[in-house]
Amino acid sequence: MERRRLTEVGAPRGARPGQDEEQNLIRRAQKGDHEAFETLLRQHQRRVLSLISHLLRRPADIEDIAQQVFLKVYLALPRFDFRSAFGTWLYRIAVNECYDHLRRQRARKSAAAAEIPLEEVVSLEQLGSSATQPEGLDIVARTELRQVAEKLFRRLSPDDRLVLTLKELEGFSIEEIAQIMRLQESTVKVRIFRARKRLAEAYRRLVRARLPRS
Amino acid sequence: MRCQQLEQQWEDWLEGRDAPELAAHLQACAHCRTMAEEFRGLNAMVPLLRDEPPALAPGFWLRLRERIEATDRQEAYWAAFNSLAGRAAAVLAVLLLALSLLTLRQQPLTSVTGIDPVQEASTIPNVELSNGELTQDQVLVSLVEMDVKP
Repeated sequence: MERRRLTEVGAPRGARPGQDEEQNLIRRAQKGDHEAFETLLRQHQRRVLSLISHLLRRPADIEDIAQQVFLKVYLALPRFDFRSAFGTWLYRIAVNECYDHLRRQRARKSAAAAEIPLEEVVSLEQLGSSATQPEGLDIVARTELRQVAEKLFRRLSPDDRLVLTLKELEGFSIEEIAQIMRLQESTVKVRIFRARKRLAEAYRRLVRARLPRS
Repeated sequence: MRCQQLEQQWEDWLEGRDAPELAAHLQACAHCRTMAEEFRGLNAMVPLLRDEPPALAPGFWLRLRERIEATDRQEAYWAAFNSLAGRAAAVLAVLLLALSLLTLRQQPLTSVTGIDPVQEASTIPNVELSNGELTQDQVLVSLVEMDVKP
């Protein structure tokens, strides 16, 4: 998949202002210039919304969380010291807000495996093989597979969902994820590996549950 | 090498980067080989979850601006309150100090023992020096009794 560099994220293609312009906007916003603040956020809006939407997977919550994130950015901006890229700092706030939201949500409810309306469950090994790539499936099978993926993803812990989203859906590199989460790269690699392992286990359980008992 | 020792190398291996130890391990470990196939399957499935970010409702930025302004007003209120509270505390401290000074001044002059100092001095026995002269205390007591300032 396309890997986007952190320093380039959030901006409409070809319209991102240079580093100096961004720093100028940040300084103005730090002095209370609301217009500069809004311009700054609009430049990162697309990426922040994508992150929130992929992490939460509930359209109804996206705008509320985005408001919370932007408000927190506004309150914390006077303390932003330019030591990291503004994008990294902003995504860190977004990730933390989503993480808290997921944890609160998880405390309230958990998804049920029985809801998955899959007619035929293929094994992950089959999916991984070239014969059964999602691209080769018909629209119904693809839709069903997406539903399965959606349910499995929702069942992941907030930690696992977070690293997999940043890596697989948002396309951040290990280095970028380490910066956002303030972790060592080696730790990020291990966390992603374990999240994949748990996702595969969840899928295996699902396949076992759906297969007719002999 | 044990499976757990290679956890860090999986990301490199999945992205096609060099992970020689894991590659060698996969030749020998059937469990990890199965896992590798499953990971490939997940890598094919997870991208199905990728969506375009949603469009924001028309009033989003207006709502944000209102919330920011409300926050600013709240902060200004607390700043004013804190400054006012600080000033009030300072005024109160000065008043308390003045009041305690005033109270101290109005108290009658008493000795530690509660006896009038003049009376107290008169209780001091007359001790003459061996050469017949009076001591300094006796001179002072005599002067006080005569109401003469030394």
